[in-house]
Amino acid sequence: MTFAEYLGGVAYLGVVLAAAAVSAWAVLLAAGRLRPNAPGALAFGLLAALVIFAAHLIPGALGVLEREAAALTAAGIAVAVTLALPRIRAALADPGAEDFPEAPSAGRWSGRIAIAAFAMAAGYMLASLLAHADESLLQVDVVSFHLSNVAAWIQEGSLWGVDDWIPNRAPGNYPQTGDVFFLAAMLPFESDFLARWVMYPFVALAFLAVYAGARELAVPRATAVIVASAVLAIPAVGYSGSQGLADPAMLGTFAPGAYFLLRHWRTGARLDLILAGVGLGLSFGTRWYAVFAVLAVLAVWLAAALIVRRPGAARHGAALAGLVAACGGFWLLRNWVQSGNPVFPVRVAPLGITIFDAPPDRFRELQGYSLADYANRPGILRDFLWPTFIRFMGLASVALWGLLAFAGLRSFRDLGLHLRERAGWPRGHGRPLAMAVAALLIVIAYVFTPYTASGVKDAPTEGWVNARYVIPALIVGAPAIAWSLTRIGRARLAVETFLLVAIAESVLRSLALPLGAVSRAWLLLVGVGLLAAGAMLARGVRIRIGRRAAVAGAVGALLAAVVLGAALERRYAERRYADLNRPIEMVNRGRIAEGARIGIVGDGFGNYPLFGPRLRNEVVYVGPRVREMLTSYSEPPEFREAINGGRFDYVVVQNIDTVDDGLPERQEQWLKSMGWRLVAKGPHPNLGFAGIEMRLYEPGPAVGGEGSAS
Amino acid sequence: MPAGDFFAGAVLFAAMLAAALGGSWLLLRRRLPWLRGAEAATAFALIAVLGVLAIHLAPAVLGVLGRGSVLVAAALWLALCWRAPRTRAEPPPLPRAEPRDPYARYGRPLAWVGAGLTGLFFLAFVANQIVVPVGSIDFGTFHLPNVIRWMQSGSIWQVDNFLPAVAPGNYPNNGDVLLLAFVLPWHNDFLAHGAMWAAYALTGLAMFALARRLGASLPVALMAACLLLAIPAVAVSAMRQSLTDSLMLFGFAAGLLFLVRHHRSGATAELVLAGLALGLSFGTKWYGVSSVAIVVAVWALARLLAGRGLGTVLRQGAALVGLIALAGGVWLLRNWIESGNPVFPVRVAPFGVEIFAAPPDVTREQFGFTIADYLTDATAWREFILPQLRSFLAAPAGLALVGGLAALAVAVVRRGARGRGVALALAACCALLLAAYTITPYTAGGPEGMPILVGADSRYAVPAIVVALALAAWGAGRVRWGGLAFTGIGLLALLHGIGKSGGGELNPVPVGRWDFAFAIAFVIGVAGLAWAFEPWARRLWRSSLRVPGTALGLAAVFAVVAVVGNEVQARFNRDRYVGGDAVIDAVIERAPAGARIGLAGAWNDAGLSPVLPSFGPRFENEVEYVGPLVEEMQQRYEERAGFVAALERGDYDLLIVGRGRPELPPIREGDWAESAGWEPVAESERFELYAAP
Repeated sequence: MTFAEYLGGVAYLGVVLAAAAVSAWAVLLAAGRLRPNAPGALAFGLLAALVIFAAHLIPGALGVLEREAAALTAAGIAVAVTLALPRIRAALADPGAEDFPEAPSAGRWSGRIAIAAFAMAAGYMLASLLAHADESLLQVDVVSFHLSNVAAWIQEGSLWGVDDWIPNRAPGNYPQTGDVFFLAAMLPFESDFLARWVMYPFVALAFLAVYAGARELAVPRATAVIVASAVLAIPAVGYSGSQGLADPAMLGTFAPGAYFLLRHWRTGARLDLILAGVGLGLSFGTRWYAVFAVLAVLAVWLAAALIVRRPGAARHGAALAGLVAACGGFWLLRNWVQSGNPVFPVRVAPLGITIFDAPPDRFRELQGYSLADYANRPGILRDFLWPTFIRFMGLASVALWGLLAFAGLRSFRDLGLHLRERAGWPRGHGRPLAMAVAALLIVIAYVFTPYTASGVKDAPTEGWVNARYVIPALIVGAPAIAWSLTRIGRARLAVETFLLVAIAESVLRSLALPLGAVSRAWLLLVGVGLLAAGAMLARGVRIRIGRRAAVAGAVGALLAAVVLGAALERRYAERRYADLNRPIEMVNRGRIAEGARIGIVGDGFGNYPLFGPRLRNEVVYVGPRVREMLTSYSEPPEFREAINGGRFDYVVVQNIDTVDDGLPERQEQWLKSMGWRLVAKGPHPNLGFAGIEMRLYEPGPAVGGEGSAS
Repeated sequence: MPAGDFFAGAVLFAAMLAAALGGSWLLLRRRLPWLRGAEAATAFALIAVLGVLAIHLAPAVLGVLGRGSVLVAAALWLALCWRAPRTRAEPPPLPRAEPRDPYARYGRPLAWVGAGLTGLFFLAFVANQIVVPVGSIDFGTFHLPNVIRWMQSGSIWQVDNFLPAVAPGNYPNNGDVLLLAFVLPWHNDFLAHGAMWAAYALTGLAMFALARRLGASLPVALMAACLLLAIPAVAVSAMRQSLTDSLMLFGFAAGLLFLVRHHRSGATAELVLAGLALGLSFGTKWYGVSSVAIVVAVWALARLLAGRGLGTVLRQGAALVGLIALAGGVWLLRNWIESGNPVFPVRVAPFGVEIFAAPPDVTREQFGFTIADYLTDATAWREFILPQLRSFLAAPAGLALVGGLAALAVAVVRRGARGRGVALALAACCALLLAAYTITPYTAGGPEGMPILVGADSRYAVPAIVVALALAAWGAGRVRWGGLAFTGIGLLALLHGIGKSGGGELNPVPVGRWDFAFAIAFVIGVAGLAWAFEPWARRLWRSSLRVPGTALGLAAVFAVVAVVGNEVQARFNRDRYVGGDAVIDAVIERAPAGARIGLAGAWNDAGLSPVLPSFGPRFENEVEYVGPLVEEMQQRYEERAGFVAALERGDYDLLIVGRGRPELPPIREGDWAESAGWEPVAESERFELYAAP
């Protein structure tokens, strides 16, 4: 990428970000809620995320997805919001709303523990980002479909496509709001050098929302920070964020959504309800497991509203449902249009009446086991699931699960005591219980969710990575946990200390995860920096800066960011997917001309690097769609016809098929028999440890092509 | 087992148990209203256990044992208890003579830690074993097979032996009746180990009550009970092997408790309880017979020395013996009727005058050595006896004996100490029990010079340890630092005992951290739920919905227990006894029900017994040993002709031939069967399986 190209990208990205910031700022200003605190930051973050999402969704849905279109849409939204400010002010103004209920101080020691907890949890995240900023993302899901989807959108100019590279699964039908945020960072540059940074703001939003939720329940600041840090320290949270998985986008919108729903219960403010709907809606469209998590939260909210006969429950419920559908429903619509089933590939047939059909999901049948399938197999739970679960979830999650159970029981008991002493349901008293119930519903759903114990029968070796699906339960329950700590007297300090230990243990586990290592120097540097900042904050040190200095500083920071970004881009481009294997080297070092058409044979894991450094190669799987499910050719004539008709410049064979064992090898033989010749091969970047290879073929002279190798 | 069968069995079991417990509660309230605390709990448990035994023994004695007859007997038991009149007796109150312990504030937390550890150990062991079929050779060779034969015939008037040259079919079987109660409702053994788990817990309760009655402080009594339960010979035999020793110990400790109470209160009802408790013990194990005899003898002598008068002692002694016979004598009667000798196969010939004859017991002659036989053999002690005793009795037993000796010294030195007389009687009792242990056959069992069964049969020494613990608990309160020393050292000994009991040395699958984690989670979960529901329950109790609400709550609890129970039985039965031996696997596969299976030859103890698995999962196969009864002793055929003729007579579908033991002559039954046209279908290291021609 030339510097000019880089600057062009910066400009387009800058327009989108600036428009998002202006829109969010304007709305909050109009509503009287532009405050430098957690609720203000959360509202700003959610609204900005919504604008960024909309700026890409609208042109993408219209089939005109270009960086110019995205920038124009974003600017248009900002202008529209500015023009509508008086009406927004009239509809949403609520300056009197108290940010948090009054809470007692947690004490000096809790404050110290909170600083240490935050320094450790956030320190790992930040150090991980800084240490790996110039490295390309390599997590298997990320390079198998998340980033590949984005590349396909950029090439197609549309978000309506269902693109798959792995047969007998349907990741192309996943809800993809999270990928839209990757799109926002990649589209202006046609490069992924900023992709690693995308999920970090969402991790921060999740942290802030848990903190704010706890404060909403009148929890002291330090206790709230400790519990939120414990959530942040869970390896599954930090790891997902640093590896480019879309899960943080789910958590970072779900948590604020749940928080504003909780807050709306107290304030009744319209903006809180809207923010709740936006947050939950964005989350709804991010992951399949978010669909149930959001529904669980809404169901508990509705049940609670009906039990206490809250005025306007039906109206508010309808508004929430509408917002969720508007912010997150596009992907279901896309699936319905493209695959005939909003939740493809899951068959929807309540009471045996088929509403939406789906083809047999062979991979789910083979490996899609859920925890419930092994619930009565303690040996499996003990030997396979627990060791991997603890590796990915850490002691912090174990502590939080235990405390969540306690919080649920405590709130249930408190409600019983209250009802015993007085008649009627107490106002606001059942909120921790409601949160615990919502968490319980999510846990139950998790236990029955396919792939939570994935792997072949009786050997669920792959389920651990899907422990991510249960994090929403902790997110929604964490404020209740913090609340319960305020009900145990002096034991709170002991529990907080234990949580600090658990956070340390979990950070160590994050470091031990694949791709999770961070050098001690970075950890020390960032950790000490955060500790110092925390200590200064706790001592009430405030740096006073004048308006001019602030503006100058902001401009300087912006310029510095642009310059540092250029340096980062250059360094990133040099190292992008380097030294992985020969085929990827050929694609990324210009040995294969940009714009090549590459077919994939065998499960297409790790295909993203084949798109090339500027995402200009076309990468497709060589296989038919049978009832909208991508499958493989198992007969030579069909395979040969597909190869001949596909006009491929290259074919990459990967000797793995998780459904039809040995099929890629047979297809490779058919390919060779057609005259294709092996150009390069090397271990698969993700699955090389299992003997899987990437083998690059080009048409031989007998086929009539010379390939595009230069 | 289909879920329907399970639920039907669960209802039957619950009804039987409710009748036994309800009857016990009625009797306790009406006949022993003065009992309080642990003593009341012990009495309640004792009467309930006796009730369960009566409910099953009565129809079995009448030859009509079945699920229906048991229900009728349960109803009768409840009706009888209902009709029991209230007592008008008012025995003098017996305040506990608990000396002040200046260090109780230190000892109490130690004791509660010990109790917590023991409780967790119990739950962890349950978690470890709950779906594991009992693999103990005794359980699989005669305990449960005997029970199954009773169920098949509807009667206890039979002696079934499935091994040659030994007579476990003549053992006292009170413990097996308790097993019967846990398997009859389902005709399946998934809950069989629960019988001895209950007895194990009750043993701890009785030990605690006994120590308290002797004047031990709460921490000391608590620790004494924990120490008893941590002895590997007690824990492993009950928790993993489902051997009936725990029931013997429960009856024994409860008998001592109520003897001591009766000695002080003079209440006849307590003497009745003591007699029935000792009878329970007497009718459970052969060493229970000798132990109870010693207790009764010492009791009588002590009563005489205490100046109770010969007439009183004789009258009460006769009552005591009668009650013991009532609760435990039926097995001697059965032996007398069926084998011609109440204590078959032991010849009864005092002073050379033969009262009951018995055939030569070759096995006992060759392998039934006693500790006394090795008293002067230092090598045997060093290489066999002491290592095994260390493993099977462990530190808790050592502490009990040392503590007992120390207490004896206190009793001798401090003439004015309260309870000194009882302490001296206990010391005498302990000494006699130890002496009896050393001369009991098989306490150093094994080939001559190789006493390999010392550990396994160290169970026979536990009655002496019960008494020693009681004595030590008494003594601990009589010395200034005694209580603290007992609880402190006791906690260390307890850890040693728990480590040995749950460790890999005595268990194929040791009790591990996962089992403890489950136990902790279970305790926290149940306690948490109880805590959270408490205000709701109180509110319900005070409301007009009290009756339906309580019923609904109980129904919910029953439903949860039933659902969990069904899962447990399903997992238990999924691979019941599969994978232990190729021949047993083949039997399980070929003969799930309705087959006749013959056993022949002999086999070693290093693995599963083929007897119990051969009955099938629902006990629908008939299993017999193919051998002649020689002077009422099960033997092997010595000639082919007799064996083949027996095979033809027996109409067996399958024949399992044990491949012998090193110390026995070679087994020929397999060759004989094959020569008679039987087809070999499977073989393993220990067995051969033949199918009928």
